[in-house]
Amino acid sequence: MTHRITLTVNGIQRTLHVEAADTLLRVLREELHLTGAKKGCGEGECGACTILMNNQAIRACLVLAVEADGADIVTIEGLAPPGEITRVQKAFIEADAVQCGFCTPGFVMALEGEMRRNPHATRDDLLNALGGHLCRCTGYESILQATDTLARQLAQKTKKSKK
Amino acid sequence: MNLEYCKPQTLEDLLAETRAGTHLMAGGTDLLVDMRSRKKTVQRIVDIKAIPELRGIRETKSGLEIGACETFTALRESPLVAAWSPALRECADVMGCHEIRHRATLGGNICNSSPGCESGVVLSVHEAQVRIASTRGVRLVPFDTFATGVNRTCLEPDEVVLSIILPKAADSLSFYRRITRTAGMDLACWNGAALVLQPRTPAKRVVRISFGTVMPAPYRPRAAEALLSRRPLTPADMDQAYDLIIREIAPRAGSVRASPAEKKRAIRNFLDELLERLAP
Repeated sequence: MTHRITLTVNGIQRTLHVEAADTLLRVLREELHLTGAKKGCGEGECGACTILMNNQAIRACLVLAVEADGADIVTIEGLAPPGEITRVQKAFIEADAVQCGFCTPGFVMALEGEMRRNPHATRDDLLNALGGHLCRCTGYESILQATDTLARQLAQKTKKSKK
Repeated sequence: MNLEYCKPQTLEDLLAETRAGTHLMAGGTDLLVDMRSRKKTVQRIVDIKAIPELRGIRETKSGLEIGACETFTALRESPLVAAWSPALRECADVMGCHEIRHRATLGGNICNSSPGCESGVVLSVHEAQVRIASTRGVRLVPFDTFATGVNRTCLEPDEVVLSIILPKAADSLSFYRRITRTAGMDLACWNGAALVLQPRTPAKRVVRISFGTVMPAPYRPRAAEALLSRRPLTPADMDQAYDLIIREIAPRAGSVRASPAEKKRAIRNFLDELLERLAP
């Protein structure tokens, strides 16, 4: 059965016809050609397809496109204006936290999601947000370094805002 | 695959749409996995997320009522849940992973009725009630009779879970434990929960314990509970309780989760922790 859905993707409103069985991930990648979210396992285990839906990190392989009717979707492509990057992306670059890059958008979106949801997120909150993400090449060490940098930045901000 | 999908906006419409051949979808984190692996043939999905009656975490006369569509993120962040049931809070903290917790719901968790259902052992020790609706009316079912087996519940094809009610347990302590292969995200290979009423008064103390993955549904060892209740406890009591439990349970060899030996060891550790928590 075909459904007509309207959603906002990276700030642009889109109206699409989708099949009821289409996952949001398939529509993002194959209809909108936003290939930043990756299809790893396809069953919610690996985290590579993580995107923001209504400012919350979710697995796009476990959401039907019809469920996203009316939703605000942000993918890695829409995190920052063209030519700019976010503090999470900057931290990843500085820590060399990317090797093959397949898992990276998922890790970045998970941290972005937690930091938007919870501006006072602690290191534990950030690590918790990464709990369901797999990386097969970095050994995680550099990703944890990037996460530590972000946790320190957030802690400083929290301290300032309390003053 | 010609899948049908609808998203009713009112409870009345939802009940009219719920019938044999319908798969109700809340968070979809189990349903979509089962569809993909073809474990389930799904022809018709009814999305229940828009129904206001399935939302909310509130104190009522009968206890703490949790709407079926409340997510695990909502549970772990709810001060009411933390106050009423540390065990439910602990279980919500570790279920799935961050992104799964944002979508997965308490109602979905119990309707999927996996043998290691994260919330199952907790609801079982709380003697939670499940509020169920259909066009025929509303009924309350004790959780222990709701979960009838592996992926099986007592729900009729036209019924919908509205909410889960934890009865008052004012002076109590509770905790949740599980074993997993990895810390980040995994199924519970084994899990257990304890709720102790009047924990500081041995003569009045009531001990309830429940274990997952050792029987088709969360399992309460009643004989062991009776042995551990209403008396000061010694390590020898724990040995005896363990023997009683081991005699009754039937963990499957070749399970995807953990071996029978690992599950038994986990129960032993769980009983030791219980003794420690109840030490004067």
